[in-house]
Amino acid sequence: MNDEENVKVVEMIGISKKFGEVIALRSVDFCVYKNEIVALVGDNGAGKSTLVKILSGVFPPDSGKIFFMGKEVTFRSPRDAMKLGIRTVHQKMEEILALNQTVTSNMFMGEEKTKKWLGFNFLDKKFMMRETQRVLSEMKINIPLPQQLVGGLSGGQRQALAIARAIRQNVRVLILDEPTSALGVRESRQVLKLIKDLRDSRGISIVIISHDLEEVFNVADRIVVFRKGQKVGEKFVSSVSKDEIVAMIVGADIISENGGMDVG
Amino acid sequence: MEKEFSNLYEAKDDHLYRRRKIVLLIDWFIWIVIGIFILLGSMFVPGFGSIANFRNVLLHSSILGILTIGETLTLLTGNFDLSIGSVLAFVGVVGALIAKVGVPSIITIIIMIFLGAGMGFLNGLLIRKVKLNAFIATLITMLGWRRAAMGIVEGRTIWNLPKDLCFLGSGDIGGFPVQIIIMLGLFVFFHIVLTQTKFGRHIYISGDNQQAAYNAGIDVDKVVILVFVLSGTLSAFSGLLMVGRLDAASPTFGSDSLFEAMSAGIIGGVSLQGGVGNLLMALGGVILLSVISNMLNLYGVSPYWATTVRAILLLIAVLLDLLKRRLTRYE
Repeated sequence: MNDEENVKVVEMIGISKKFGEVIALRSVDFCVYKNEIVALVGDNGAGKSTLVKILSGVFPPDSGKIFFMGKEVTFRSPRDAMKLGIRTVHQKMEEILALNQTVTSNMFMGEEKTKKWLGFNFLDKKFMMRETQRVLSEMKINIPLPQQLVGGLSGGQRQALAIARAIRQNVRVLILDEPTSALGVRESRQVLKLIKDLRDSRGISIVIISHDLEEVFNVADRIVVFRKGQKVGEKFVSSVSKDEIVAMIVGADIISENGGMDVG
Repeated sequence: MEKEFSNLYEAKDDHLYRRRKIVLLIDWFIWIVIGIFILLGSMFVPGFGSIANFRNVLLHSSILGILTIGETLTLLTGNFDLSIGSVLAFVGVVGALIAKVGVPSIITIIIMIFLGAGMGFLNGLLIRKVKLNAFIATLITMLGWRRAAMGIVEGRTIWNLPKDLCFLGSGDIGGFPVQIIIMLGLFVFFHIVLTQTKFGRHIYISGDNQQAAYNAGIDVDKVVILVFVLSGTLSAFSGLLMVGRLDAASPTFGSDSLFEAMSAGIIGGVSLQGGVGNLLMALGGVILLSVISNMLNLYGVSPYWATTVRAILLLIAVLLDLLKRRLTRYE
Protein backbone atom coordinates (compact mmCIF):
# COMPACT_ATOMS: atom_id res chain seq x y z
CA MET A 1 0.00 0.00 0.00
CA ASN A 2 1.51 3.33 -1.00
CA ASP A 3 1.07 6.72 0.65
CA GLU A 4 -1.55 7.84 -1.81
CA GLU A 5 -3.85 5.06 -0.69
CA ASN A 6 -3.06 5.52 2.95
CA VAL A 7 -5.09 8.73 3.18
CA LYS A 8 -7.81 8.53 5.79
CA VAL A 9 -10.98 9.81 4.16
CA VAL A 10 -13.03 9.41 7.30
CA GLU A 11 -11.85 9.12 10.86
CA MET A 12 -14.22 8.67 13.78
CA ILE A 13 -12.76 8.91 17.28
CA GLY A 14 -14.35 7.89 20.57
CA ILE A 15 -17.88 7.59 19.23
CA SER A 16 -20.50 6.71 21.86
CA LYS A 17 -24.25 6.46 21.53
CA LYS A 18 -27.01 5.51 23.93
CA PHE A 19 -30.66 4.86 23.15
CA GLY A 20 -32.43 5.29 26.46
CA GLU A 21 -30.69 2.81 28.75
CA VAL A 22 -29.24 0.76 25.91
CA ILE A 23 -25.63 1.49 25.08
CA ALA A 24 -25.33 1.04 21.32
CA LEU A 25 -21.74 2.23 20.93
CA ARG A 26 -19.01 2.54 23.53
CA SER A 27 -16.13 4.82 22.55
CA VAL A 28 -15.49 3.39 19.10
CA ASP A 29 -12.64 4.47 16.80
CA PHE A 30 -13.11 3.81 13.12
CA CYS A 31 -11.53 5.01 9.92
CA VAL A 32 -11.96 4.58 6.19
CA TYR A 33 -8.97 4.77 3.84
CA LYS A 34 -9.07 6.03 0.32
CA ASN A 35 -10.14 3.57 -2.34
CA GLU A 36 -10.76 0.61 -0.06
CA ILE A 37 -13.68 -1.63 0.75
CA VAL A 38 -14.02 -2.03 4.47
CA ALA A 39 -16.53 -4.48 5.92
CA LEU A 40 -18.23 -4.10 9.28
CA VAL A 41 -19.19 -7.41 10.83
CA GLY A 42 -20.72 -8.45 14.13
CA ASP A 43 -23.77 -9.98 15.68
CA ASN A 44 -27.16 -8.30 15.68
CA GLY A 45 -27.11 -5.28 17.96
CA ALA A 46 -23.31 -5.09 17.93
CA GLY A 47 -23.45 -1.44 16.84
CA LYS A 48 -22.57 -1.58 13.13
CA SER A 49 -25.75 0.03 11.90
CA THR A 50 -25.64 2.68 14.59
CA LEU A 51 -22.10 3.60 13.56
CA VAL A 52 -22.95 4.00 9.88
CA LYS A 53 -26.09 5.93 10.74
CA ILE A 54 -23.95 8.38 12.69
CA LEU A 55 -21.53 8.56 9.78
CA SER A 56 -24.36 9.28 7.36
CA GLY A 57 -25.89 11.94 9.59
CA VAL A 58 -29.14 10.17 10.46
CA PHE A 59 -28.52 10.96 14.13
CA PRO A 60 -25.63 12.58 16.05
CA PRO A 61 -23.32 10.70 18.44
CA ASP A 62 -23.58 11.41 22.19
CA SER A 63 -19.83 11.97 22.25
CA GLY A 64 -16.87 11.57 19.93
CA LYS A 65 -15.47 13.35 16.92
CA ILE A 66 -15.77 12.83 13.19
CA PHE A 67 -13.03 13.95 10.79
CA PHE A 68 -13.45 14.12 7.04
CA MET A 69 -10.21 14.45 5.04
CA GLY A 70 -8.55 15.54 8.28
CA LYS A 71 -11.08 18.26 9.12
CA GLU A 72 -13.50 17.94 12.00
CA VAL A 73 -17.15 17.89 10.91
CA THR A 74 -20.55 17.67 12.58
CA PHE A 75 -23.63 16.35 10.83
CA ARG A 76 -27.00 17.73 11.81
CA SER A 77 -28.87 15.84 9.10
CA PRO A 78 -28.15 13.38 6.27
CA ARG A 79 -27.88 16.39 4.00
CA ASP A 80 -24.69 17.56 5.73
CA ALA A 81 -23.05 14.19 5.15
CA MET A 82 -24.25 14.08 1.56
CA LYS A 83 -22.68 17.46 0.85
CA LEU A 84 -19.30 15.96 1.67
CA GLY A 85 -19.97 13.00 -0.60
CA ILE A 86 -20.83 10.47 2.08
CA ARG A 87 -23.73 8.53 0.60
CA THR A 88 -25.66 5.74 2.22
CA VAL A 89 -27.81 2.94 0.91
CA HIS A 90 -29.71 1.87 4.00
CA GLN A 91 -30.61 -1.73 4.61
CA LYS A 92 -34.32 -1.36 4.27
CA MET A 93 -35.41 -0.37 0.79
CA GLU A 94 -38.60 0.95 2.34
CA GLU A 95 -36.50 3.61 4.06
CA ILE A 96 -34.88 4.92 0.89
CA LEU A 97 -37.30 4.59 -2.01
CA ALA A 98 -40.70 6.18 -2.50
CA LEU A 99 -42.72 3.41 -4.11
CA ASN A 100 -45.54 5.47 -5.58
CA GLN A 101 -43.15 7.84 -7.36
CA THR A 102 -41.36 7.33 -10.65
CA VAL A 103 -37.88 5.92 -11.15
CA THR A 104 -36.67 9.38 -12.18
CA SER A 105 -38.23 11.02 -9.15
CA ASN A 106 -36.44 8.52 -6.91
CA MET A 107 -33.16 8.85 -8.76
CA PHE A 108 -33.11 12.60 -8.11
CA MET A 109 -34.79 12.52 -4.70
CA GLY A 110 -33.73 15.58 -2.74
CA GLU A 111 -31.42 16.75 -5.56
CA GLU A 112 -33.91 17.65 -8.26
CA LYS A 113 -32.42 19.54 -11.16
CA THR A 114 -34.11 22.83 -11.92
CA LYS A 115 -33.83 25.46 -14.60
CA LYS A 116 -34.79 29.09 -14.51
CA TRP A 117 -37.78 30.25 -16.51
CA LEU A 118 -39.22 33.75 -16.13
CA GLY A 119 -37.21 34.12 -12.95
CA PHE A 120 -38.64 31.01 -11.30
CA ASN A 121 -37.05 27.63 -10.76
CA PHE A 122 -38.86 24.84 -12.54
CA LEU A 123 -37.99 21.16 -12.61
CA ASP A 124 -35.84 20.21 -15.56
CA LYS A 125 -37.74 17.00 -16.25
CA LYS A 126 -36.14 16.30 -19.61
CA PHE A 127 -32.65 16.47 -18.16
CA MET A 128 -33.56 14.24 -15.22
CA MET A 129 -35.17 11.68 -17.50
CA ARG A 130 -32.15 11.54 -19.82
CA GLU A 131 -29.70 11.44 -16.93
CA THR A 132 -31.64 8.58 -15.32
CA GLN A 133 -31.52 6.60 -18.52
CA ARG A 134 -27.82 7.32 -18.89
CA VAL A 135 -26.91 6.22 -15.36
CA LEU A 136 -29.02 3.09 -15.54
CA SER A 137 -27.57 1.99 -18.87
CA GLU A 138 -24.05 2.85 -17.75
CA MET A 139 -24.49 0.49 -14.84
CA LYS A 140 -26.22 -2.03 -17.09
CA ILE A 141 -29.38 -2.00 -15.02
CA ASN A 142 -32.46 -2.90 -16.98
CA ILE A 143 -35.31 -0.70 -15.90
CA PRO A 144 -37.32 -0.23 -19.07
CA LEU A 145 -39.17 3.00 -18.28
CA PRO A 146 -37.73 5.88 -16.25
CA GLN A 147 -41.30 7.12 -15.76
CA GLN A 148 -42.56 3.88 -14.25
CA LEU A 149 -43.37 3.64 -10.56
CA VAL A 150 -40.73 2.12 -8.30
CA GLY A 151 -43.41 -0.01 -6.61
CA GLY A 152 -43.50 -2.05 -9.81
CA LEU A 153 -39.79 -2.99 -9.69
CA SER A 154 -38.32 -6.24 -8.40
CA GLY A 155 -36.08 -6.42 -5.34
CA GLY A 156 -32.92 -6.52 -7.45
CA GLN A 157 -34.02 -3.60 -9.57
CA ARG A 158 -34.80 -1.56 -6.47
CA GLN A 159 -31.42 -2.34 -4.89
CA ALA A 160 -29.63 -1.43 -8.09
CA LEU A 161 -31.62 1.79 -8.37
CA ALA A 162 -30.73 2.68 -4.78
CA ILE A 163 -27.02 2.18 -5.45
CA ALA A 164 -27.22 4.01 -8.76
CA ARG A 165 -28.79 6.97 -7.01
CA ALA A 166 -26.14 6.99 -4.31
CA ILE A 167 -23.25 7.07 -6.75
CA ARG A 168 -24.83 9.27 -9.41
CA GLN A 169 -22.67 12.21 -8.46
CA ASN A 170 -20.13 13.50 -5.99
CA VAL A 171 -19.48 10.39 -3.97
CA ARG A 172 -16.35 9.88 -1.82
CA VAL A 173 -17.61 7.31 0.65
CA LEU A 174 -20.39 4.88 -0.19
CA ILE A 175 -22.03 3.16 2.77
CA LEU A 176 -23.96 -0.02 2.06
CA ASP A 177 -25.97 -1.50 4.91
CA GLU A 178 -26.61 -5.18 4.11
CA PRO A 179 -26.90 -4.57 0.37
CA THR A 180 -27.64 -8.19 -0.47
CA SER A 181 -29.73 -9.38 2.45
CA ALA A 182 -33.01 -9.17 0.54
CA LEU A 183 -31.67 -10.61 -2.71
CA GLY A 184 -31.37 -14.03 -4.25
CA VAL A 185 -28.01 -15.68 -4.91
CA ARG A 186 -27.65 -14.51 -8.49
CA GLU A 187 -28.80 -10.99 -7.75
CA SER A 188 -26.40 -10.79 -4.79
CA ARG A 189 -23.46 -11.80 -6.98
CA GLN A 190 -24.28 -9.08 -9.45
CA VAL A 191 -24.57 -6.42 -6.77
CA LEU A 192 -21.21 -7.45 -5.29
CA LYS A 193 -19.61 -7.25 -8.70
CA LEU A 194 -21.14 -3.82 -9.11
CA ILE A 195 -19.59 -2.77 -5.80
CA LYS A 196 -16.12 -3.98 -6.78
CA ASP A 197 -16.38 -2.30 -10.17
CA LEU A 198 -17.28 0.95 -8.48
CA ARG A 199 -14.23 0.88 -6.27
CA ASP A 200 -11.97 0.10 -9.22
CA SER A 201 -13.47 2.49 -11.77
CA ARG A 202 -14.35 5.44 -9.58
CA GLY A 203 -11.76 5.25 -6.82
CA ILE A 204 -14.26 5.66 -4.03
CA SER A 205 -14.20 4.17 -0.56
CA ILE A 206 -16.92 1.71 0.36
CA VAL A 207 -18.15 0.75 3.81
CA ILE A 208 -20.20 -2.40 3.71
CA ILE A 209 -22.16 -4.04 6.51
CA SER A 210 -22.78 -7.72 6.04
CA HIS A 211 -23.67 -10.84 7.94
CA ASP A 212 -22.35 -13.09 5.23
CA LEU A 213 -18.65 -13.80 5.84
CA GLU A 214 -18.33 -15.53 2.47
CA GLU A 215 -19.39 -12.29 0.88
CA VAL A 216 -17.15 -10.20 3.12
CA PHE A 217 -14.04 -12.22 2.27
CA ASN A 218 -14.96 -12.07 -1.37
CA VAL A 219 -15.36 -8.32 -1.61
CA ALA A 220 -13.62 -6.50 1.25
CA ASP A 221 -10.02 -5.38 1.76
CA ARG A 222 -10.32 -4.91 5.49
CA ILE A 223 -12.67 -6.22 8.17
CA VAL A 224 -13.71 -4.46 11.35
CA VAL A 225 -15.43 -6.58 14.01
CA PHE A 226 -17.97 -5.27 16.48
CA ARG A 227 -19.34 -6.89 19.59
CA LYS A 228 -21.71 -5.40 22.15
CA GLY A 229 -21.14 -1.84 21.02
CA GLN A 230 -17.36 -2.07 20.94
CA LYS A 231 -14.79 -2.56 18.23
CA VAL A 232 -13.08 -5.83 19.04
CA GLY A 233 -10.88 -6.35 16.01
CA GLU A 234 -9.57 -4.89 12.77
CA LYS A 235 -7.85 -7.09 10.19
CA PHE A 236 -6.82 -7.11 6.56
CA VAL A 237 -8.58 -9.86 4.69
CA SER A 238 -5.24 -11.18 3.44
CA SER A 239 -3.98 -11.76 6.97
CA VAL A 240 -6.90 -13.36 8.72
CA SER A 241 -9.01 -16.50 8.46
CA LYS A 242 -12.76 -16.84 8.62
CA ASP A 243 -12.52 -18.80 11.88
CA GLU A 244 -10.64 -15.99 13.55
CA ILE A 245 -13.30 -13.49 12.49
CA VAL A 246 -16.08 -15.77 13.73
CA ALA A 247 -14.26 -16.13 17.03
CA MET A 248 -14.04 -12.35 17.36
CA ILE A 249 -17.72 -11.94 16.55
CA VAL A 250 -18.84 -14.38 19.22
CA GLY A 251 -16.06 -13.48 21.65
CA ALA A 252 -14.33 -16.84 22.02
CA ASP A 253 -10.97 -17.14 23.72
CA ILE A 254 -8.81 -18.56 20.93
CA ILE A 255 -8.14 -15.04 19.74
CA SER A 256 -6.27 -14.11 22.89
CA GLU A 257 -3.76 -16.84 22.21
CA ASN A 258 -3.35 -15.98 18.54
CA GLY A 259 -3.38 -12.24 18.29
CA GLY A 260 -3.41 -11.00 21.85
CA MET A 261 -6.74 -9.36 21.22
CA ASP A 262 -8.60 -8.45 24.37
CA VAL A 263 -12.12 -9.54 23.77
CA GLY A 264 -13.24 -10.18 27.34
CA MET B 1 -21.32 -10.68 -18.35
CA GLU B 2 -23.12 -7.57 -19.50
CA LYS B 3 -25.77 -9.70 -21.08
CA GLU B 4 -26.31 -11.65 -17.93
CA PHE B 5 -26.66 -8.52 -15.89
CA SER B 6 -29.31 -6.97 -18.06
CA ASN B 7 -31.35 -10.17 -18.25
CA LEU B 8 -31.38 -10.28 -14.53
CA TYR B 9 -33.22 -7.03 -14.13
CA GLU B 10 -35.73 -7.59 -16.86
CA ALA B 11 -39.35 -7.08 -15.91
CA LYS B 12 -42.37 -8.41 -17.67
CA ASP B 13 -42.69 -5.53 -20.09
CA ASP B 14 -46.04 -6.20 -21.81
CA HIS B 15 -47.65 -6.69 -18.49
CA LEU B 16 -46.23 -3.39 -17.37
CA TYR B 17 -47.66 -1.38 -20.24
CA ARG B 18 -51.09 -2.92 -19.86
CA ARG B 19 -51.16 -2.12 -16.18
CA ARG B 20 -50.05 1.43 -16.82
CA LYS B 21 -53.05 1.86 -19.07
CA ILE B 22 -55.46 0.60 -16.41
CA VAL B 23 -53.86 2.85 -13.81
CA LEU B 24 -54.15 5.85 -16.14
CA LEU B 25 -57.81 4.99 -16.62
CA ILE B 26 -58.38 4.95 -12.85
CA ASP B 27 -56.51 8.24 -12.54
CA TRP B 28 -58.88 9.97 -14.93
CA PHE B 29 -61.92 7.96 -13.87
CA ILE B 30 -63.41 10.96 -12.10
CA TRP B 31 -63.61 13.05 -15.29
CA ILE B 32 -65.26 10.16 -17.13
CA VAL B 33 -67.88 9.97 -14.40
CA ILE B 34 -68.43 13.73 -14.60
CA GLY B 35 -68.88 13.44 -18.35
CA ILE B 36 -71.50 10.73 -17.91
CA PHE B 37 -73.35 12.72 -15.26
CA ILE B 38 -73.38 15.88 -17.36
CA LEU B 39 -74.61 13.93 -20.38
CA LEU B 40 -77.39 12.22 -18.43
CA GLY B 41 -78.22 15.45 -16.63
CA SER B 42 -78.61 17.45 -19.84
CA MET B 43 -80.91 14.78 -21.25
CA PHE B 44 -83.13 14.02 -18.31
CA VAL B 45 -82.93 16.78 -15.71
CA PRO B 46 -84.97 19.86 -16.63
CA GLY B 47 -82.96 23.06 -16.42
CA PHE B 48 -79.62 21.28 -15.95
CA GLY B 49 -78.13 22.03 -19.37
CA SER B 50 -78.50 25.81 -19.27
CA ILE B 51 -75.54 28.14 -19.09
CA ALA B 52 -77.02 29.82 -16.03
CA ASN B 53 -77.05 26.46 -14.27
CA PHE B 54 -73.53 25.68 -15.37
CA ARG B 55 -72.49 28.99 -13.83
CA ASN B 56 -74.36 27.97 -10.70
CA VAL B 57 -72.44 24.72 -10.42
CA LEU B 58 -69.12 26.53 -10.73
CA LEU B 59 -70.23 29.13 -8.23
CA HIS B 60 -71.14 26.41 -5.80
CA SER B 61 -67.73 24.83 -6.46
CA SER B 62 -65.60 27.90 -5.90
CA ILE B 63 -65.29 28.08 -2.11
CA LEU B 64 -65.29 24.30 -1.78
CA GLY B 65 -62.67 24.19 -4.55
CA ILE B 66 -60.27 26.52 -2.79
CA LEU B 67 -60.62 24.61 0.48
CA THR B 68 -60.05 21.38 -1.43
CA ILE B 69 -56.74 22.67 -2.80
CA GLY B 70 -55.45 23.14 0.75
CA GLU B 71 -56.85 19.85 1.94
CA THR B 72 -55.35 18.02 -1.06
CA LEU B 73 -51.92 19.47 -0.35
CA THR B 74 -52.06 18.19 3.23
CA LEU B 75 -53.39 14.80 2.05
CA LEU B 76 -50.48 14.53 -0.39
CA THR B 77 -48.01 14.96 2.48
CA GLY B 78 -49.74 12.04 4.22
CA ASN B 79 -51.49 14.29 6.73
CA PHE B 80 -54.86 15.99 6.77
CA ASP B 81 -56.23 19.24 8.07
CA LEU B 82 -59.45 19.00 10.07
CA SER B 83 -59.37 22.68 10.95
CA ILE B 84 -60.08 24.23 7.54
CA GLY B 85 -63.76 24.98 8.29
CA SER B 86 -62.95 26.46 11.67
CA VAL B 87 -60.16 28.62 10.27
CA LEU B 88 -62.61 29.84 7.62
CA ALA B 89 -65.15 30.82 10.30
CA PHE B 90 -62.67 32.38 12.71
CA VAL B 91 -60.93 34.42 10.04
CA GLY B 92 -64.30 35.49 8.63
CA VAL B 93 -65.57 36.71 11.99
CA VAL B 94 -62.34 38.51 12.90
CA GLY B 95 -62.20 40.10 9.43
CA ALA B 96 -65.78 41.30 9.69
CA LEU B 97 -65.18 42.81 13.12
CA ILE B 98 -62.08 44.62 11.88
CA ALA B 99 -63.93 45.92 8.83
CA LYS B 100 -66.78 47.17 11.02
CA VAL B 101 -64.36 49.35 12.97
CA GLY B 102 -63.62 51.16 9.73
CA VAL B 103 -60.26 49.69 8.77
CA PRO B 104 -59.71 49.95 4.98
CA SER B 105 -60.74 46.71 3.26
CA ILE B 106 -57.36 46.04 1.69
CA ILE B 107 -55.77 46.05 5.13
CA THR B 108 -58.56 43.85 6.50
CA ILE B 109 -57.93 41.37 3.71
CA ILE B 110 -54.20 41.30 4.38
CA ILE B 111 -54.80 40.74 8.09
CA MET B 112 -57.22 37.89 7.33
CA ILE B 113 -54.78 36.16 5.01
CA PHE B 114 -51.89 36.45 7.47
CA LEU B 115 -54.13 35.26 10.29
CA GLY B 116 -54.98 32.13 8.27
CA ALA B 117 -51.32 31.56 7.46
CA GLY B 118 -50.46 31.85 11.15
CA MET B 119 -53.16 29.36 12.10
CA GLY B 120 -51.84 26.94 9.49
CA PHE B 121 -48.33 27.48 10.84
CA LEU B 122 -49.57 26.51 14.30
CA ASN B 123 -50.98 23.25 12.88
CA GLY B 124 -47.67 22.58 11.18
CA LEU B 125 -45.69 23.21 14.36
CA LEU B 126 -47.96 20.97 16.44
CA ILE B 127 -47.53 18.16 13.92
CA ARG B 128 -43.85 18.41 13.01
CA LYS B 129 -42.21 20.00 16.04
CA VAL B 130 -44.43 18.92 18.97
CA LYS B 131 -44.90 15.64 17.05
CA LEU B 132 -48.63 15.26 17.61
CA ASN B 133 -50.33 13.23 14.95
CA ALA B 134 -52.26 15.24 12.39
CA PHE B 135 -55.60 13.99 13.64
CA ILE B 136 -55.10 15.17 17.23
CA ALA B 137 -53.33 18.41 16.30
CA THR B 138 -55.94 19.61 13.84
CA LEU B 139 -58.83 18.29 15.95
CA ILE B 140 -57.59 20.56 18.74
CA THR B 141 -57.35 23.59 16.47
CA MET B 142 -60.63 22.70 14.77
CA LEU B 143 -62.51 22.74 18.08
CA GLY B 144 -60.50 25.63 19.48
CA TRP B 145 -60.94 28.09 16.61
CA ARG B 146 -64.61 27.29 16.10
CA ARG B 147 -65.40 27.94 19.75
CA ALA B 148 -63.21 31.01 19.80
CA ALA B 149 -65.13 32.38 16.81
CA MET B 150 -68.40 31.69 18.66
CA GLY B 151 -67.04 33.33 21.78
CA ILE B 152 -65.85 36.51 20.13
CA VAL B 153 -69.27 37.37 18.69
CA GLU B 154 -71.26 35.34 21.21
CA GLY B 155 -72.79 33.28 18.45
CA ARG B 156 -74.23 36.26 16.57
CA THR B 157 -73.92 36.98 12.86
CA ILE B 158 -72.34 40.24 11.68
CA TRP B 159 -74.18 41.93 8.81
CA ASN B 160 -73.69 44.83 6.43
CA LEU B 161 -70.03 44.78 5.57
CA PRO B 162 -68.15 47.26 3.36
CA LYS B 163 -68.82 46.83 -0.38
CA ASP B 164 -65.19 46.51 -1.40
CA LEU B 165 -64.57 43.76 1.15
CA CYS B 166 -67.36 41.79 -0.52
CA PHE B 167 -66.07 42.30 -4.06
CA LEU B 168 -63.96 39.14 -4.20
CA GLY B 169 -66.85 37.01 -2.97
CA SER B 170 -69.73 38.50 -4.89
CA GLY B 171 -68.42 40.78 -7.62
CA ASP B 172 -68.04 39.96 -11.27
CA ILE B 173 -65.76 40.96 -14.10
CA GLY B 174 -67.61 41.28 -17.40
CA GLY B 175 -70.46 39.18 -16.05
CA PHE B 176 -68.16 36.41 -14.86
CA PRO B 177 -68.08 35.89 -11.08
CA VAL B 178 -64.77 36.84 -9.52
CA GLN B 179 -64.75 33.85 -7.20
CA ILE B 180 -64.87 31.38 -10.08
CA ILE B 181 -61.90 33.10 -11.70
CA ILE B 182 -60.01 33.00 -8.41
CA MET B 183 -60.80 29.33 -7.85
CA LEU B 184 -59.69 28.26 -11.33
CA GLY B 185 -56.61 30.48 -11.11
CA LEU B 186 -55.59 28.92 -7.80
CA PHE B 187 -56.06 25.42 -9.20
CA VAL B 188 -53.81 26.22 -12.16
CA PHE B 189 -51.21 27.88 -9.94
CA PHE B 190 -51.02 25.07 -7.40
CA HIS B 191 -51.12 22.42 -10.11
CA ILE B 192 -47.99 23.98 -11.59
CA VAL B 193 -46.39 24.16 -8.15
CA LEU B 194 -47.10 20.48 -7.54
CA THR B 195 -45.99 19.14 -10.91
CA GLN B 196 -43.27 21.52 -12.02
CA THR B 197 -41.33 22.60 -8.93
CA LYS B 198 -38.94 21.07 -6.48
CA PHE B 199 -41.26 21.92 -3.61
CA GLY B 200 -44.07 19.99 -5.33
CA ARG B 201 -41.82 16.94 -5.80
CA HIS B 202 -40.85 17.11 -2.16
CA ILE B 203 -44.53 17.16 -1.13
CA TYR B 204 -45.11 13.91 -3.01
CA ILE B 205 -41.97 12.22 -1.75
CA SER B 206 -42.49 13.30 1.86
CA GLY B 207 -46.04 12.02 1.75
CA ASP B 208 -45.13 8.77 0.07
CA ASN B 209 -42.22 7.88 2.32
CA GLN B 210 -41.24 10.29 5.04
CA GLN B 211 -38.21 8.31 6.14
CA ALA B 212 -36.89 8.01 2.60
CA ALA B 213 -37.39 11.73 2.06
CA TYR B 214 -35.47 12.52 5.24
CA ASN B 215 -32.67 10.11 4.39
CA ALA B 216 -32.37 11.72 0.96
CA GLY B 217 -31.80 15.08 2.59
CA ILE B 218 -35.28 16.56 2.12
CA ASP B 219 -36.33 18.85 4.96
CA VAL B 220 -39.64 17.12 5.69
CA ASP B 221 -40.47 19.47 8.58
CA LYS B 222 -40.18 22.48 6.31
CA VAL B 223 -42.25 20.89 3.54
CA VAL B 224 -45.08 19.82 5.83
CA ILE B 225 -45.20 23.05 7.84
CA LEU B 226 -45.26 25.08 4.64
CA VAL B 227 -48.09 22.94 3.30
CA PHE B 228 -50.11 23.59 6.46
CA VAL B 229 -49.40 27.32 6.15
CA LEU B 230 -50.78 27.13 2.60
CA SER B 231 -53.81 25.19 3.79
CA GLY B 232 -54.48 27.83 6.47
CA THR B 233 -54.00 30.63 3.98
CA LEU B 234 -56.39 29.05 1.49
CA SER B 235 -58.95 28.48 4.24
CA ALA B 236 -58.68 32.14 5.21
CA PHE B 237 -59.15 33.07 1.58
CA SER B 238 -62.26 30.91 1.42
CA GLY B 239 -63.51 32.70 4.54
CA LEU B 240 -62.99 36.01 2.79
CA LEU B 241 -64.98 34.80 -0.23
CA MET B 242 -67.79 33.39 1.86
CA VAL B 243 -68.11 36.57 3.89
CA GLY B 244 -68.20 38.51 0.65
CA ARG B 245 -70.73 36.24 -1.02
CA LEU B 246 -73.18 36.39 1.88
CA ASP B 247 -72.33 39.92 3.02
CA ALA B 248 -72.18 38.50 6.52
CA ALA B 249 -69.89 36.66 8.91
CA SER B 250 -71.13 33.94 11.20
CA PRO B 251 -69.12 31.64 13.49
CA THR B 252 -71.07 28.71 12.04
CA PHE B 253 -69.72 29.25 8.52
CA GLY B 254 -67.97 26.30 6.98
CA SER B 255 -69.32 23.70 9.39
CA ASP B 256 -69.64 21.13 6.58
CA SER B 257 -66.59 22.32 4.67
CA LEU B 258 -64.19 19.82 6.14
CA PHE B 259 -66.17 16.77 5.14
CA GLU B 260 -66.93 18.19 1.70
CA ALA B 261 -63.36 19.19 0.90
CA MET B 262 -61.87 15.97 2.15
CA SER B 263 -64.36 13.81 0.28
CA ALA B 264 -63.92 15.88 -2.88
CA GLY B 265 -60.19 15.19 -2.81
CA ILE B 266 -60.59 11.51 -2.05
CA ILE B 267 -63.39 11.00 -4.59
CA GLY B 268 -61.12 12.61 -7.15
CA GLY B 269 -58.49 9.98 -6.42
CA VAL B 270 -56.17 11.63 -3.89
CA SER B 271 -54.98 8.95 -1.51
CA LEU B 272 -55.34 9.25 2.26
CA GLN B 273 -51.99 7.52 2.59
CA GLY B 274 -50.07 10.34 0.96
CA GLY B 275 -48.01 10.77 -2.18
CA VAL B 276 -50.72 9.81 -4.68
CA GLY B 277 -53.11 12.07 -6.53
CA ASN B 278 -53.13 15.50 -8.09
CA LEU B 279 -55.15 18.69 -8.19
CA LEU B 280 -56.90 17.96 -11.48
CA MET B 281 -58.35 14.86 -9.83
CA ALA B 282 -59.33 16.90 -6.80
CA LEU B 283 -60.98 19.52 -9.02
CA GLY B 284 -62.88 16.64 -10.62
CA GLY B 285 -64.07 15.58 -7.19
CA VAL B 286 -65.23 19.11 -6.39
CA ILE B 287 -67.14 19.45 -9.64
CA LEU B 288 -68.71 16.00 -9.39
CA LEU B 289 -70.00 16.76 -5.89
CA SER B 290 -71.39 20.09 -7.08
CA VAL B 291 -72.99 18.55 -10.15
CA ILE B 292 -74.66 15.85 -8.09
CA SER B 293 -76.05 18.15 -5.41
CA ASN B 294 -77.18 20.49 -8.22
CA MET B 295 -79.06 17.66 -9.93
CA LEU B 296 -80.66 16.46 -6.73
CA ASN B 297 -81.63 20.05 -6.08
CA LEU B 298 -83.26 20.47 -9.48
CA TYR B 299 -85.15 17.25 -8.94
CA GLY B 300 -86.39 18.58 -5.65
CA VAL B 301 -84.72 15.83 -3.65
CA SER B 302 -84.08 16.71 -0.02
CA PRO B 303 -80.47 17.91 0.48
CA TYR B 304 -80.06 15.30 3.19
CA TRP B 305 -79.76 12.65 0.52
CA ALA B 306 -76.83 14.46 -1.06
CA THR B 307 -74.65 13.39 1.82
CA THR B 308 -75.67 9.77 1.40
CA VAL B 309 -74.78 9.89 -2.28
CA ARG B 310 -71.45 11.42 -1.33
CA ALA B 311 -70.80 8.60 1.12
CA ILE B 312 -71.34 6.02 -1.62
CA LEU B 313 -68.99 7.89 -3.95
CA LEU B 314 -66.42 8.02 -1.18
CA LEU B 315 -66.58 4.26 -0.78
CA ILE B 316 -66.13 3.71 -4.53
CA ALA B 317 -63.17 6.11 -4.57
CA VAL B 318 -61.40 4.36 -1.71
CA LEU B 319 -61.92 0.96 -3.34
CA LEU B 320 -60.47 2.28 -6.61
CA ASP B 321 -57.44 3.59 -4.73
CA LEU B 322 -56.90 0.13 -3.27
CA LEU B 323 -57.20 -1.46 -6.71
CA LYS B 324 -54.69 1.00 -8.14
CA ARG B 325 -52.18 0.29 -5.39
CA ARG B 326 -52.45 -3.41 -6.13
CA LEU B 327 -51.95 -2.90 -9.83
CA THR B 328 -48.80 -0.82 -9.42
CA ARG B 329 -47.07 -3.34 -7.13
CA TYR B 330 -44.62 -5.89 -8.38
CA GLU B 331 -45.59 -9.53 -8.19
